[in-house]
Amino acid sequence: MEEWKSQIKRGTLAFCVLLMIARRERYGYEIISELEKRPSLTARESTVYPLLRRLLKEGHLSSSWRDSAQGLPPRKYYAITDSGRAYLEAMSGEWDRLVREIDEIREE
Amino acid sequence: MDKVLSSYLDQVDRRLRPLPAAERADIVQEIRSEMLELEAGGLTPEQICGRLGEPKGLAAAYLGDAIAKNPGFSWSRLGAVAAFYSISGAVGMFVLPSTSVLAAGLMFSGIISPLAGILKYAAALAGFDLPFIMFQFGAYTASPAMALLLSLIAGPLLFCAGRGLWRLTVRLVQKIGQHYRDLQTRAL
Repeated sequence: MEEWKSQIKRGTLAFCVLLMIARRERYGYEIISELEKRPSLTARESTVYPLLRRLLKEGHLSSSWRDSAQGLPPRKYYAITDSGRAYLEAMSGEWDRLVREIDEIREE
Repeated sequence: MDKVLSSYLDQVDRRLRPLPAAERADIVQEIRSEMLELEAGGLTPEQICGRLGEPKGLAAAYLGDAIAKNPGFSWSRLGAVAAFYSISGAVGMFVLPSTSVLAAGLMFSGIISPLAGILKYAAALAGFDLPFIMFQFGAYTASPAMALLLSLIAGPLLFCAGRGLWRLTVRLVQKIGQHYRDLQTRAL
């Protein structure tokens, strides 16, 4: 069961991360703590940061370092690019179809 | 920043060596930023390290993702970097500085020793001894006339040895440069 859960998580993490960043710009730790609130989606630093870097390299995200409130370190914020939006849209369509098809099988 | 945390970052940084320096710095900066954030949130350095996991594992995740993205390219690139480090590691950090300094030293001695021999001989002719110039070889100390003769022979020899070594050094540098370019092209 654990193996299956981690496979699902691995397969859907990029989708979740892009969804969060599409809503508004986010920094790495913020994404990780958001995911932490959802037991099925929790992901470690060693998974999230390399993923962000990959999405950045593929051009789906852009990033910028910004100073934050007094006493807190500068943060690296991620924003979604046009290519990222297109990618996310394709993912959303694929996701809807996947859920629909699974439901069809369950209801047969 | 806390010692435990900065040592953690050092370890991650060291293991990211196959990546370009700018990317490495950016990765470390981002982890550092989270560490400070967690610290401000009241976590102890030990708790922070526990949360991030072994530095080895975290670095491997970055490297692993770089490889997984495009196996052909990344493996050869990692290989190229490893190869370059193994050549320039020994040659660049130890051999080249030694040979170039030695070459310069030999050439300098080659020029200075005949001058010293001439000076010693001239002083002897003028009737006084220069104690700070002596031609010694083991227990043997040459007379001013002998010192002049020996230093005139030794000078050019030293100078030639120095120049030869210098040429060798230059050729070595060119060779490494060439090798490095080869590795880079192969990586692309």
